[in-house]
Amino acid sequence: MERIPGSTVWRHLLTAFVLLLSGASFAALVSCASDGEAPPDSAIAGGGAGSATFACSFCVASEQCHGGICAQLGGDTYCVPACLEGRACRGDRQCLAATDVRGNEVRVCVPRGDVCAGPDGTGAAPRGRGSTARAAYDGGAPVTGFVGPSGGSASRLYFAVVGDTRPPTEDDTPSYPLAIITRIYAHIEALSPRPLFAISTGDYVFAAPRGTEGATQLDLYLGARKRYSGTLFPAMGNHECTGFTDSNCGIGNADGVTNNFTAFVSKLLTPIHQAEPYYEIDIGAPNGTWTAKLLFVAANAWTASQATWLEQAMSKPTTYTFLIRHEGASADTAPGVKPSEAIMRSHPYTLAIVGHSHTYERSGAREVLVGNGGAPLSGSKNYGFAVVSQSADGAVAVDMIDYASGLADTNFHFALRADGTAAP
Amino acid sequence: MERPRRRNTALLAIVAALVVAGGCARLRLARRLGSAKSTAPPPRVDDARGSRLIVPHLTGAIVLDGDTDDPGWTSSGGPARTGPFALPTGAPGRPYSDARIVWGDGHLYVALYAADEDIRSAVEPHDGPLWLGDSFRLVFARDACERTIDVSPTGTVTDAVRRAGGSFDYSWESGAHVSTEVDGTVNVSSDADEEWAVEMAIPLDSLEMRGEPGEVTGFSVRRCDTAKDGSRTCAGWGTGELEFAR
Repeated sequence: MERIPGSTVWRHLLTAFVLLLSGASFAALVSCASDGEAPPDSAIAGGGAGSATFACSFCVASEQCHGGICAQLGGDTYCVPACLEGRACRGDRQCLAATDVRGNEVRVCVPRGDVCAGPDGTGAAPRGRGSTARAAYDGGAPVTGFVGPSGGSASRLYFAVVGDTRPPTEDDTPSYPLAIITRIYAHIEALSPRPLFAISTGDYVFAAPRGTEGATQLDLYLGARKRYSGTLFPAMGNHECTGFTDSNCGIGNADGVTNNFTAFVSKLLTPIHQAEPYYEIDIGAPNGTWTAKLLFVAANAWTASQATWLEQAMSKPTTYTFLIRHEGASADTAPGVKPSEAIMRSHPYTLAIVGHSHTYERSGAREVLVGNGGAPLSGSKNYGFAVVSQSADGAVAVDMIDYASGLADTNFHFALRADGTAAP
Repeated sequence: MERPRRRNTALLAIVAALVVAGGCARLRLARRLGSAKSTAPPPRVDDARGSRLIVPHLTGAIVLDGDTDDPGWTSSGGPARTGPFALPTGAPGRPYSDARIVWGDGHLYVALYAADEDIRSAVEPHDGPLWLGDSFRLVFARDACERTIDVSPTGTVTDAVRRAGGSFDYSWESGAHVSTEVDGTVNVSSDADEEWAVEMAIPLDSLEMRGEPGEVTGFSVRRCDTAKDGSRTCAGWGTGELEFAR
């Protein structure tokens, strides 16, 4: 062991004392719980805890990177340090141009060799996001046919479901989850076989209802959606009205025609030739062995006309009936939830597909919640999307795909027969 | 039931006593509170990060209405952002929460967002134990004083101050102006809620701050939430500092 000269020893002792004093002083400032009367956990526990932990840890926003940058690397997004001018990268990293999570050009210190493929950036399920078991998704037999804005025919039902894509707070367009929704649609496009169409469960914006940010956010969404080449059939969410779950938009309704409603109709519905936020899409087998209707219910634009339409549409016999509505049965403050549920109860249907809550779950015997498309997550599950796939025996299976890994959640899988009863 | 974290040691208390010098000018004699406070179940201490947030000066108006569509929040450059609150492991806290902060006009403006499928607000008066329900807590530490402001989904505020090593004085008033926006039904667990948000303006003089560029205060923010299944989670930005930018 190296010897330390005497004067150095004193310096070290002095330094240690000063550090002890200052550290203890700060600790004292922050460690005053004394009599149990205090609000719990109010103590400030040490200053500036943010450490430079950007060793390729997974991220969705640069704020998670403690001063680093959340950059798109190797098909995922990871925290890495910036390499500013005059500030070299660590020896095991090199300064490279990259794109950050929001699409800006950046220069970052990237590990040499495998890009973020080391122990901290395994490329598998990112750390700290639960113990969800995942496996490659098997899309099953090839699919032929075409489903466009007016419906179509397909050798089997096989479609993707995306739900709830918006920033956490109103008009916070810079926080729009663009990277997440872009990746979701890229994964959908890359599935084999590729889904013939996609549906979305609503909430594409969080914007002041009479402002202009809603249109801007929808443009961001549409930019991401371009990663998928199939047709998208969107449901309307409460954020396409005023943002409140109990809001009701449309001519003659309490909240009228908001800018967000108008933008939703013009940017998402017009491309599929729909003028109303509620509509029906019909799909069938080329040989006529099965038929399916998808009924898009707008619970935040509920009218007597929509009720009549839904009643008539559900009366039309088809092998499969899917109801797509933003709010699930439990979010019954939305004006159209209770009345549409009442209509649904009097007709056969296969499955209701909903969003609103920012997670995914089988939320009822015949209801699946898909709301993890980029909006601030409310549960422990990660962002992603669902795939609905019809098998040879006629059952339709629902699986959830993780947006980061592209793998299926093996703990989440269920199948229903056409009449909505459970299938093996 | 978990107890509040205690860090007291004799040495630390002595050192604190040496350091504390004249802070907490507004500290008044502690007012004894009812038993609810002394027996309040503490949330877990599990916020994990923190660092220094450079807080921009207000560049536009902010109207306290619970909406953050005001120019003060949305103008170029934007507010300081904590980013998603996290657990100590670094994992994202769920449900999602975040905070945004600007300063100006003699106030610290804070926007707090809470995704929440089941909004539960403690039915308590001002200065009651709001932490029994879903709530945010902001802590400002400066000049040996710690000021806490708890805010519930319904906009009720509990604020307190304490000198290092002392007990909380709930007679201290932050003077915070608070507006909340709730999308859901408070204290009704049978349905699905979406979120709640807080927009608040805290007078800087109540924090004994001058409101000058370069001014720094210790800061932490966290949010605790009880889920439908009764499980309780707290996540935060961690502990660090706010520095006022020009």
